[in-house]
Amino acid sequence: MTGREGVAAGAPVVVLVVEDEPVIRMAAVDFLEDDGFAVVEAATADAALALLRTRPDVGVLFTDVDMPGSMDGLALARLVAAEHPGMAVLVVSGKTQPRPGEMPAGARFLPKPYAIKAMLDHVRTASGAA
Amino acid sequence: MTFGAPSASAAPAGQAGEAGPQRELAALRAENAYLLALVAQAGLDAEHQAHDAARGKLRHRGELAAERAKAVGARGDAADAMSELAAERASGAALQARHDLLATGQARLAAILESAADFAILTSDLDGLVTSWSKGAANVLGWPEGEALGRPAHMIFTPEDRTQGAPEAEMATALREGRAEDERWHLRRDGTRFWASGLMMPLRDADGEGEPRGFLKIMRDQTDKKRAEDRAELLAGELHHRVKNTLALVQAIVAQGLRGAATPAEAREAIEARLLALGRAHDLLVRGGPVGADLRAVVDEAVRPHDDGAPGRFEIAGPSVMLSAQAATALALVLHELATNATKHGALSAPEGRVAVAWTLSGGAEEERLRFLWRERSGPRVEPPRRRGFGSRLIEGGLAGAAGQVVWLAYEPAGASCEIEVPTASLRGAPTAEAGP
Repeated sequence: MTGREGVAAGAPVVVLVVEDEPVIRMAAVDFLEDDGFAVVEAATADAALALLRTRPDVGVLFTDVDMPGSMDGLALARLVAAEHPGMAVLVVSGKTQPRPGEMPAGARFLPKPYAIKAMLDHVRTASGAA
Repeated sequence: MTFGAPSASAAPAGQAGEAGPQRELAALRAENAYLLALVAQAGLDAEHQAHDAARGKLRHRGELAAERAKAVGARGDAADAMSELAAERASGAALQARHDLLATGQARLAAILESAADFAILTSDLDGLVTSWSKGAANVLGWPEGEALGRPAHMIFTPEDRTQGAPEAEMATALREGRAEDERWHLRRDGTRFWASGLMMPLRDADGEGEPRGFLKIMRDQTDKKRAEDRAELLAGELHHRVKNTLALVQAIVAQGLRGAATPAEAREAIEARLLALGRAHDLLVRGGPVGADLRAVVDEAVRPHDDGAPGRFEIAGPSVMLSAQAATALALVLHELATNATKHGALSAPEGRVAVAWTLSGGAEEERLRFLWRERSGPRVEPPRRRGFGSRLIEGGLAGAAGQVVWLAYEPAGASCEIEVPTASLRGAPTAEAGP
């Protein structure tokens, strides 16, 4: 099931939040849930990939860039975009904006710290386009 | 030459007729021509340097000689002949002096070149073949003069720069603009690289006019300075990154504090307490330097505000483990939540309550794991919380940035306990060098 079908069927869009800082991850999860999304979370790109194999209903990938593990959030975004063409991708980072080509086509970027409202708007728009 | 010598010989020569002075004149003219040829042979570069000084002295000597000759002429019978003779003698001596000066100038230039041991000074022809190579060039670049002469000067460029035509571009810029700056990695003879800061200029004839005959290049090894600059840039980037992360963390703490609180006062207290815990963790990091902080110090600092001083409240034991800034901050926040819970509902809310904080290392080298334990006892009977609050979730989230960790949080009736097991490698964090954008 893709995010679009989820929306059409009236089921909440599932967002995968990938962020290694527990406090920041928790805030993102809570505010997305408050906004009506279903949320699954992972602390590393590796954990996110493992989770995606069991959760085909994820419609939006929301990932930080700088994380421990075998790959960073940009590599995760590229991999996920290649393997799940329908998935919306939102990348957030406190570092400088990714260079062209570092992000998959159609992915959105939000600098950290971000306004929670802006974050929710991005996920809403992204999931609508997914 | 002294004033007395020509005048003493002038009187007998004048009485003896014209033959003597004529011979002497011819001899002096020949000597003059020889000295002129010598001077012409003296190096153009040296002449340029010695020119001004020599000209000043020559003029002075020439005038002196003419005055002397005039004095001789006024006194002697062969006044004209002798004044000419004296003037030529004086000028011959002046030419010798000039020649000496040029030789001295050349020697001085050579000494300057040889003494500039830290500066590579080299010249090439218009095709880029080395025509001279200072001792500094041998020091900095590793090629001895004998091997460097006649070779293409582009041998000191890296293969990448050679492929991109950097040596030719530099020569073209030098010809076009009169100078070309050269700030790039260069190659030594042994293949090692150094950061060179240099300048190339067209080399013209001594008067600075005319067509360029080749190039002059002066460069220094500025590798240390370059490395320091790169490091400063890296640290600035890392600092920027840390500040941004901290702000994101503070934002999340504030947002969560407001979201979960029943009253504004409760929100303020929760936010304050977490920010203060974060602040204390940063104090440790400042003291610990750029590497991070020791686990023991993080624990001591985190429990201190919750220690009422009753003997045996906290029992802390474990080996020294260095934590990255991120791991130290994360552990400080987790400990703050554990201690806050214990103060409100757990062992620290009862006079006889105790908390044991202990950690051990197991496995070797790459496989090493840290097992960190927080265990409360002798407190009130523990009821599992009805709602999984922020604190519990934060504790279960474990240490930010630590891959491969397992966290257990249990609310047993005898006391709450928390265990974090994590590969120590993931607590050391990424080296600063990998923290670029």
